Amino acid sequence: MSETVYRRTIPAMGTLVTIDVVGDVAGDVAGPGAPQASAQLAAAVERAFAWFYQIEQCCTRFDPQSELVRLSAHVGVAVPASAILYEAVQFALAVAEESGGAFDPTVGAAMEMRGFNREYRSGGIVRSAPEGSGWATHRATHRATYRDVRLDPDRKTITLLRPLLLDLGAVAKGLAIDMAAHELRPFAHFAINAGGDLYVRGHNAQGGPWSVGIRHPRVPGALFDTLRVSDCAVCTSGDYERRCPVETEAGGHHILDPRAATSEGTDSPESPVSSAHAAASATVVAPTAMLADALATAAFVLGPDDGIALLERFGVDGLIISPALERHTTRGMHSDYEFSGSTILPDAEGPSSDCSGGSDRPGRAN
Amino acid sequence: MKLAQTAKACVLSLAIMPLAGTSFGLDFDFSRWIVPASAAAMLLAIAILVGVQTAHSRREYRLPPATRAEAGDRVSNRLVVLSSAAVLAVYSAGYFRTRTAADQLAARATKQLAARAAAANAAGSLPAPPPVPVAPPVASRASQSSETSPPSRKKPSTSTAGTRVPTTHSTSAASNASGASGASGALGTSGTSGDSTANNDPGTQGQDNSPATRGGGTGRMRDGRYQGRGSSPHGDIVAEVVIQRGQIVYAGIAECLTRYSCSVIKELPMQVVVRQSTNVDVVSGATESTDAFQDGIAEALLRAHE
Repeated sequence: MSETVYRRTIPAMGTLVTIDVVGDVAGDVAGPGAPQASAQLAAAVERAFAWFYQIEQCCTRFDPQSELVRLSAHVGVAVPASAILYEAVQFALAVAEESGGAFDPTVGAAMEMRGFNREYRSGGIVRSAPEGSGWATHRATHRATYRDVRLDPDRKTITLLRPLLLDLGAVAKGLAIDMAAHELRPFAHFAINAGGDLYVRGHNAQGGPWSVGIRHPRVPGALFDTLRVSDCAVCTSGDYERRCPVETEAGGHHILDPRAATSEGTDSPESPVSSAHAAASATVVAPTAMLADALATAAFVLGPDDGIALLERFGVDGLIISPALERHTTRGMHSDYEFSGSTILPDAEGPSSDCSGGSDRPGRAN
Repeated sequence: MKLAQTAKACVLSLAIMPLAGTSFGLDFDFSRWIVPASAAAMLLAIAILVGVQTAHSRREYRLPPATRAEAGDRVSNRLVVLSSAAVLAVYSAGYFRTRTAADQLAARATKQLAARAAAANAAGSLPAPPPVPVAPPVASRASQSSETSPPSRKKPSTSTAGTRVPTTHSTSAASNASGASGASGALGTSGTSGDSTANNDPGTQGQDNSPATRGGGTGRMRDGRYQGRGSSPHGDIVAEVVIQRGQIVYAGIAECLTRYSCSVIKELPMQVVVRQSTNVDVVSGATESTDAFQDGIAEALLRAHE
């Protein structure tokens, strides 16, 4: 017997965001009774979606008026930042440091150069480089790394030490998912799916763990593996999602290897940063979506060996598929995936993050 | 790496020493003691080599110091804590920003309920008159529960502050008998079908959309610029309209004081001008902001009628 599911979908952050809430409270929305409960659920889902819009508006590099792009116009100046931008940048820099630069949020200009500069709503080309700001000096811009960004935790300011454009794509969506999960914390069973990056809590409509499919990187429509999880985030970075519109290299895609720009002899104005090719996809299961999203990108860049080592070091689980379609997993990851862990949260206000593997009961594949 | 190479060279040289001693036919009984000695040295060198390579691989791959979370343990590392703290920090910042607005809204709602109850008691069974400004009806949220439509490709407005269209345009739209649906098509939104927006006032679709019916007043509006404030649990929206020759020629968001961005409802001012009405679409994911904007417009139009 399936439970009632309340489902809403909106377009945001260049993808479709779907929220499923399972349980009696979801049934109350569709039914005639309990108007108070239904209003509470509908309002909570509205607030959850609103975070996607809010974070997108703040962190997008496709809007010249976004706080992130406006920050790029001030080099060498401590710019006061909103809580959203500051926290997102702070976390991105921490991941960059921990991954030795395999993840680097300063690749925005390189992404733009490689053709990832089309605003998904309007389809228009975005050029974030302000006139006369030194951005035309591509070489200088591309040599920028995460070490060129300074934070002041007391004044909550961000200082760019050289011209650069931040790209928070691998962090902002995860943060939005976590914020949405925080809004939905009164509900025991829900799933937030933002274009394949998920946070799931409780159980699905069949009463079992949520079933999350991992897309096969080379066979469209096929699944490479399936995870059965609950109370955790699952994010995947793959080379199949967005191909490079500018044909600068064969098989170019949207995940760049930032280390190429800082290696001697590989930095040239024509091809300062190349796509990462050490893996076909990397999936990470973590207590928060922001962590899973960022580590999936870092693990993808590092490749199977170093990527798995990175995930092990942070106590999260993951699956990396090599270009030859070999399966590399952390020690905690098995075919039926049994995993258990929890994160430190100050109190019950944060997103629940116990991860637990589950049974073989049918669930929902994404 | 240099240590490893030295150990390799040591192993190689010790291995060929017995052979060299035999080949040169040395007089003293060299081979009798050099063979076991070299074998012992080889073992020692191999042990050094293995140790060095193991240490090197640890450095290169940075294996975790056995911090893997076991069942029931708590994962403790910097990134997990940082990401969880980020969520709380962002949420708290938004909460403190709009707490005042939420409190004001709750107080206002309580006051309105009390006023309605008092009026109902005074008038017996007669319904109480609606408070000013008139709160517009809201489309049932349950009707949106199965939205799975693809994202619309409408071009966003270049300005989020407001929308101004030629008076002739708005006049023709206002005189259009099919008002809402016709204007909706012109904007590229499909109302309740196949889009993430739904008309916020189904009761008025295809009906008279004149400001008098939706603005709460009667008669011609006075020319000028008027503002009104709408509230939501996430903060207030100050909407404004400009009236010329009795028509709405401009509508916009003068102040966005909500916790969330008003960019998501930036299409709505255009709809007010085109439809000459507060009858705007509900924006999926921002129904409360939509309501607040609609309340603000309604209040502004009321002032235009005063």
